[in-house]
Amino acid sequence: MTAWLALAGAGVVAFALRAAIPLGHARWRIPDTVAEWCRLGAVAAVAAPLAGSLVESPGEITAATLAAPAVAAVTAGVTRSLPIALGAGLLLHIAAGVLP
Amino acid sequence: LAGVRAALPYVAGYLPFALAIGALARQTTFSPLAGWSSSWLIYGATAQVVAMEQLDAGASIAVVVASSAIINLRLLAYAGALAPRWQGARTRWTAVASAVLVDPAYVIAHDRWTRDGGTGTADTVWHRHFYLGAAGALWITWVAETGIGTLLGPRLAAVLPGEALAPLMLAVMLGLLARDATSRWVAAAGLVLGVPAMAIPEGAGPVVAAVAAVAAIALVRRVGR
Repeated sequence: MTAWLALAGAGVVAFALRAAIPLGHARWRIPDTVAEWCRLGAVAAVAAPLAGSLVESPGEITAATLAAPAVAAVTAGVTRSLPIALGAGLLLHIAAGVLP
Repeated sequence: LAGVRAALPYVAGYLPFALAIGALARQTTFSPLAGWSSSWLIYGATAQVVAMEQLDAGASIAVVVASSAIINLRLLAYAGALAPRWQGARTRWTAVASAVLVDPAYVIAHDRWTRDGGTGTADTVWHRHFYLGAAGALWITWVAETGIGTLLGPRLAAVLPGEALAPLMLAVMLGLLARDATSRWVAAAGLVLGVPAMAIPEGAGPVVAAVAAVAAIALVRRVGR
């Protein structure tokens, strides 16, 4: 029940952010500075839980735990492609698990 | 139909990603149906993965909603850019068009608008149809593809290592979002602050770390001037 309520709440907020200006005040223009800080906020909001998920079980951290996400992030930055970056990270993770 | 055609490369490119998010919904401790429903409730890969990750870690409703709001703030900027082109459209059309707004839909619409000469030159009504064709196709296929991923979850788990999926997807998203020096600094600050912030109760750590990271970089920029 908590999951449903949380996801529904997040959905309502997401719709409000999408529709507030077009439905409410179509003449509003977002200042560039505000848009820039919104973009940076999104970057930080992804980085923080990533750090948390990487160090969740400190005793079980392996080279692959840290290397695979790092490779995936760099590949995404270079290729601008979700599937290629995810594939590269997964391949490295699987290879690290198979190799001694 | 021109909008649908423009969206096809994105639809194909997002397929493995959508399948992986669907599989992630199957691997959570809560209902897979709830996980998949995030595809049409939240509709945004980054916010969906973070929400599922936080719920799995026992975060409260307020924390999940706040994180989703921070991640989706950029949609406010996209909507602000598109709104002047939607003036004159029916309220119902605007509501539907807003609901399906997501990064690639904005990119497709904005690219075509710019290519057609932009404000004063481009045909606003044609561009509205073009946008809805592209954004609608992206929404329908995303919901369907993540649904298939959720259904195939256990089979996909054989090839997709479950414990690595969430950090890998977050890392990929970070790589795509951190496009310039400032955002890379913000990403680094978020990664560094994200670790000690884990000690904050109620799963509020990531939200606090994200706000602190942006504030820290803002402060450094101000001092540097």
